Amino acid sequence: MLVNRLSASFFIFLGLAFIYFIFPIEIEKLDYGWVRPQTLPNTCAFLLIVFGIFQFIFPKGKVVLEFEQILWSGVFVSVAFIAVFGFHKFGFIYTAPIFALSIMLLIGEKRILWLLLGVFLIPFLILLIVEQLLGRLLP
Amino acid sequence: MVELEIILLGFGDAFSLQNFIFIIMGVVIGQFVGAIPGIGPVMATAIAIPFTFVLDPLVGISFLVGVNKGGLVGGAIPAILINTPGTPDSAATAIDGHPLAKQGKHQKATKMALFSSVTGDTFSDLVLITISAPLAILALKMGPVEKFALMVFAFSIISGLVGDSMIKGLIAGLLGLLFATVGLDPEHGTPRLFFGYFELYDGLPLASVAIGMLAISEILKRLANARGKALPAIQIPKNQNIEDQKLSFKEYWSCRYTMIRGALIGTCLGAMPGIGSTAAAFMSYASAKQASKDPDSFGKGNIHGVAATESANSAVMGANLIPLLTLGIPGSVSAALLISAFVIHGIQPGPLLFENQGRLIYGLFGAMIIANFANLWIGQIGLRFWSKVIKAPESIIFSSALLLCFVGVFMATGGLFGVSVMLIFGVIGFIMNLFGYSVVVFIITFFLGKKFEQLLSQTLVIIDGNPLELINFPFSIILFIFALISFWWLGFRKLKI
Repeated sequence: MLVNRLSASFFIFLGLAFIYFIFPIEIEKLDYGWVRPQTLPNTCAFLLIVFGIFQFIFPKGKVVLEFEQILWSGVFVSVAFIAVFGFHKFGFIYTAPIFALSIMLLIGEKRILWLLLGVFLIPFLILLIVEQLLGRLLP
Repeated sequence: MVELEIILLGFGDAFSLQNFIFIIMGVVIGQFVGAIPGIGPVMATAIAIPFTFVLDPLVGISFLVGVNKGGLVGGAIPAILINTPGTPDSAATAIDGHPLAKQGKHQKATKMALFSSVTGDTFSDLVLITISAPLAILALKMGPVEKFALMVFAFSIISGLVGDSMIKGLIAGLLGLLFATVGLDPEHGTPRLFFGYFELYDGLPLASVAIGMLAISEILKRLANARGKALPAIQIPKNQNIEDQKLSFKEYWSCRYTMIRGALIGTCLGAMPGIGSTAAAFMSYASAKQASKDPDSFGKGNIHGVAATESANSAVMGANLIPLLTLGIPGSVSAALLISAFVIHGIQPGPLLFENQGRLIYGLFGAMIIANFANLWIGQIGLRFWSKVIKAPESIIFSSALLLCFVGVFMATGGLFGVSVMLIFGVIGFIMNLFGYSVVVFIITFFLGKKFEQLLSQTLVIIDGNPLELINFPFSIILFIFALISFWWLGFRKLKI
């Protein structure tokens, strides 16, 4: 119930933030035509507030929050963002094996054979398929 | 109506060597990934879409159809062997499949799953091939007002049926619509919500959003759950009775009514947007149990239970394409992914498809039939092999899946900006899943958002902003009434808000 109300409050504030802070800056207002650039976004944000209030009053739906799961997902997504930076700076050849190794070690994989397979063979196969077979360049 | 020559040419294209090879590849990949709990055909299709970019449209789409169909068969294997469905569609299969495996009859159960899956799938494909063209002719008679009303009706059904709360479904749908407004406004051409990133002028890349929401969010969840855990595996007894492993024709034939019933349920539910194969499988299971002379044996290893669920969940696949091909409305997440493959290849789904791309569509129909036979053939050989796949460690599966997502989106969007967008939507999808907001509804409304805005604009111009003018469009009024009924029936009646 509390978690559902929390998510409902988020959508109410998100709708308000869109209408009062984001849309005025990010959408050019026009005053002609039936459907103006701001019409659909404003309607969606307004309805988000309305349904958010509904959800707040009648919280419904089963929600199970596991903080450890959320924490570890945050760690994995951070590694993924670092990998994107790595692809940009150093390219796929150097970043992909390190990225795969980090993910596998974070999961807890310690078997050398599987590690070698994931770190060297899989990125090599992807490189081979994309660059040689499909003729596309990787970063 | 599509000319016979076009139909024959289309079917001929489906039987080209290149198409044939890619269908086989798709089915093999589909069965393989379907057998891996947590990956499934949806994630595999999402990852594969950008790779089809370099292929001929028919070959690319046939490949994806192969992945989807193969995945449905593969998904039954872990459900039967380790009571962990590879896909949600196979959850009902585990009810009777796993007890059969525990009795040492796992091969009999997986064979029944394969045969009933192909039977249900072929049935729904034949229905699709027969009725989609006449339906498209009807759809062509609809103007913007009727199409807009139809879209509102479809949204009302999807948001009500997917998930356990209609309000949450509506919020997810609104978020999808809101994100669809990023980019140039279709009416006036003014940029909206691009936050200084000129890459967003064309809107958020569909491949990034779809792969982020469907694949990345699921991988993140699985990675977080997989830490330090070994996958469970069933202990299969070594000395097994050979008769217990075989599936005789008599046993298959004894399930014919169960399979036909399952195929009918799957086809009817699949033709309606929003009702997934999971619902069809459970409904078919319930009806098989009800019709059985020995209902108490269900849940304890009755082969009819496997036949009922697999024929129904596979029948949904073909039927899902009916609203997609005739109206351009994806009925499920698999259909939404297929629609994005159409768009990547520059093809706009909808009733005009039969007129403009008749050859491609009949080629696709041919490919679907080929994929069914390929499923049967590869399944016969591969079932024993795929059952070993479930023992592969998640560390290698998910690190490879992440790399494939990166590479796929990089190829589809032409840069790392799309990859960053994918990760952001992965996080959004993860959070939405966590709090029970459906990513499926989000993806469908996101995909239809631009079209929705255009139709809204055209409708308002046609009726001159006066709702009373709708009286001249009786079909649209009926659809709006249906939408209201569906809001009431699916949401407010049981206070499923």
